[in-house]
Amino acid sequence: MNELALIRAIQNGDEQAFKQLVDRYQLLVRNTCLNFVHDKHDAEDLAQEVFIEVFRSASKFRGESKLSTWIYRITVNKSLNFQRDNKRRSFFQSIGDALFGSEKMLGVSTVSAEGQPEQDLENKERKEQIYRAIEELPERQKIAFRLSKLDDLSYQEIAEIMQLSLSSVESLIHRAKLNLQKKLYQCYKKGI
Amino acid sequence: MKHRAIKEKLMFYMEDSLLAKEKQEIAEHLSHCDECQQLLESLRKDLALLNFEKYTENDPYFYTRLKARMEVPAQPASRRLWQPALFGALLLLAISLGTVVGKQFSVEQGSDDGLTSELVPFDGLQEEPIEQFLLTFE
Ligand SMILES: [Zn+2]
Repeated sequence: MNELALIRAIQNGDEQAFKQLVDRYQLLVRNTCLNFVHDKHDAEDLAQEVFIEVFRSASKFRGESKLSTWIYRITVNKSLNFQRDNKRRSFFQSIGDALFGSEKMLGVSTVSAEGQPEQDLENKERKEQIYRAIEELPERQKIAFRLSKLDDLSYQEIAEIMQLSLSSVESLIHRAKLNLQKKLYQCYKKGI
Repeated sequence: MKHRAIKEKLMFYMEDSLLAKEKQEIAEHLSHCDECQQLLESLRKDLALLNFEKYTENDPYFYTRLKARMEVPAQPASRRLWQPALFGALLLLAISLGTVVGKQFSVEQGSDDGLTSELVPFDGLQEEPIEQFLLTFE
């Protein structure tokens, strides 16, 4: 089934078509979600929300862009909303944690690699450091950078997803890299 | 190029996205600048970590979980809601306590001297902006 036929079938409530779409795009969505939120449980929740949104707004897909572009756009929007909610939530969480102790102590999973344990800790710290540095970038730089570096998308694809010109995307990513470099240099200086 | 200018280009040098001439200049600088060498090495290590974790296979149960979630009417994520709610309740409790204490305080003061009117009454009006703050936060 081609993209448009698939999405039309979903619009008509064809469950098999929806399953086909989920199977076709779940890697894309799950990986992008993970790139944005870094926590496997949250990313899983978010990926489900993305597909629910795809299902609900199937009729809005006009076939003007590739289906993957449209799904990316929904994924990015959902991820950003999630992060905004999360920031508000963590304000309350920190108060809750202060009053009742932290849930995180119980080993609520964060993304972590299995394997060589001695390298794990250092890598984990470095990874947190770089995620934090990315997190601190201005929003559009952050999105463009992630889609480019983590999702391996071309600048053209990113331009379509973000609905920007190619040159804006180039400039966003260039600035993102400069900023990231600067932030990382600051970390190295502090000896982190 | 000076050390400082080179430092700013290491990210792009690493990605091999510079012109041949710049690339050569930087390579030369690197051969005798320890600091730039170390920075480059650290950048390389850090950026390599970014693609460390990625799903490479479909999760066969993803669709099953998704369907299950779609069939359940939207449920509030309880863990996420109870904390703001509890916080709000505690805050209101604290305000009410403050109101009571404040009222007693102003009454005692008032019976002593004639300064009652200068004390800001600690009544319900004080609560309103805080309640609204909580509502917009939900
Ligand atoms: Zn140097």
